[in-house]
Amino acid sequence: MMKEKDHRISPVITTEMLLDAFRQVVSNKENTEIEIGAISPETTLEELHLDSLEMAEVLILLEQKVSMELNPFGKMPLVKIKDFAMLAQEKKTG
Amino acid sequence: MALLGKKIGTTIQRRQDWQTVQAAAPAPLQAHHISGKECRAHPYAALALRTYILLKTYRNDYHTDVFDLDRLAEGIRKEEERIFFWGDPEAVAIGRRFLTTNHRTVPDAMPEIQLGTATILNTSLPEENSIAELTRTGSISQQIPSVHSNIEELESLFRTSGYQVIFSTPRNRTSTPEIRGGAAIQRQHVRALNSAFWGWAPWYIMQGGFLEILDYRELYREPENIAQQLRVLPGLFVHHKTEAKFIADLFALNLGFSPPVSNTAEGETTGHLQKGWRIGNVASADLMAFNPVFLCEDETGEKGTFEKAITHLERMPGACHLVELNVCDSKNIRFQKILQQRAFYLVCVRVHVAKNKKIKLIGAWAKQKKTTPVAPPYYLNMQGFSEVENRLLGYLRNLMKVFRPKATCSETNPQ
Repeated sequence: MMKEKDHRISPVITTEMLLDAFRQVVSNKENTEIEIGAISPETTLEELHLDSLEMAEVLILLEQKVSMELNPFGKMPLVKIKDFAMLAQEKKTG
Repeated sequence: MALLGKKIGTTIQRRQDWQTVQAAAPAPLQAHHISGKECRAHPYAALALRTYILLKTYRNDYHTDVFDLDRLAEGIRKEEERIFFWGDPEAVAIGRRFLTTNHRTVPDAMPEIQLGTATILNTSLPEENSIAELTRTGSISQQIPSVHSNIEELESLFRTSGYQVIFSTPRNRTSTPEIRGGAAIQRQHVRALNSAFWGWAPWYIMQGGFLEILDYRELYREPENIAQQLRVLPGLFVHHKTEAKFIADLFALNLGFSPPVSNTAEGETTGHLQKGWRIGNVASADLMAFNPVFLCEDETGEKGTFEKAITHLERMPGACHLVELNVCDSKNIRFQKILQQRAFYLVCVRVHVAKNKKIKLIGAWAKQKKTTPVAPPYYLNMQGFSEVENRLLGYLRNLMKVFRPKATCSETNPQ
């Protein structure tokens, strides 16, 4: 019998994971004019107006999905949503 | 990798870890941090600024001891209460000007200042100076996190004060548009402050009228000494099997081993033991409904049976009824049996360090009012990063079945 694949635990951060995490955090923002559906990998952090608490929440959600500790203070500049995918790679290459 | 906490390290490791965090600070510390030392020179202005930030953060729904200005100002002068602030350099400059121009009296009006604040409060028994709490935290600063200010003050206090333990009960609830930051704050305590996790503090009614199941966490001036003493404790005595396993798992998380926990005491009697008990609370009458009321052993307290003391406790108003017992004392097994019968549950243990640096481990058993809505930690249904964390999360889920018979607040469930 084939073992069911665990889709939640993955060593790489996929675009879907990124969008899920950012959309979930942005949807909890008060008085935001950002349209959740308009958030894409190219959206910049500046456009989202995330504060330090919200950035930490994004990381928590991503860490749960990849089962890996992510360090946002690495060498990679985090400007756009898609840049966060590199956090997992940075960790793996160490 | 940790969701709840890592093993207690050494003083040197902590210093190195904290230095790494401080190196990533967004600006030189002096530019985005107003220290406890600076605030001590301007107690009334510091208190007014703190209250302003806390009320803004919690939308005027904040119910703890921050309003009695004359008494608190005296506490600041005596270094019982150490307030500090953080924010972007512009806000910090405005904050500094405000402090220095309002240092003798309560200010007439507050300017719009986007700062964060926290306080380290002496919570030691009289004649001691060993335990403090990192508390009264709130922030309306948008971009500057609290972590660098917290580390600066904690490091400074470990260097210069007599505090052996600084504990905290950081928020951990899922954010909503109105109630923000729980997950981020908890993560900061786990990842950056590296505080030890010793269970939960379900005893404050907080913003929106929710009883929050906060983390209970500790930092030690000399972690090596604490770890060593915990390793050689002569015995731990816990009556309920599930609670014994909970304590063993907390040890596994913090120290990497599970000690034997006994549920029997030599020469145990079933008779009613007369002992000194003290009922206490940390709040004034108008704040009691939002804060816990607790019962603990006290040689100088009123003599009587445990049953009578608990009955008295349960008649007191409070957000939560709490009983503290030394779990290193085998005689307390008999009281734990009574706690089980009276539907109290072990929620955390704390390390008590006396002036002579000797430790004991105090368990806290809580009983909730069933009518209070409960906000669980954001990680309630998450997966831990180790088997130990998963077992502790299992204990939390069982606790929540008791504390929250009906779901009263959403939590993050990534599945």
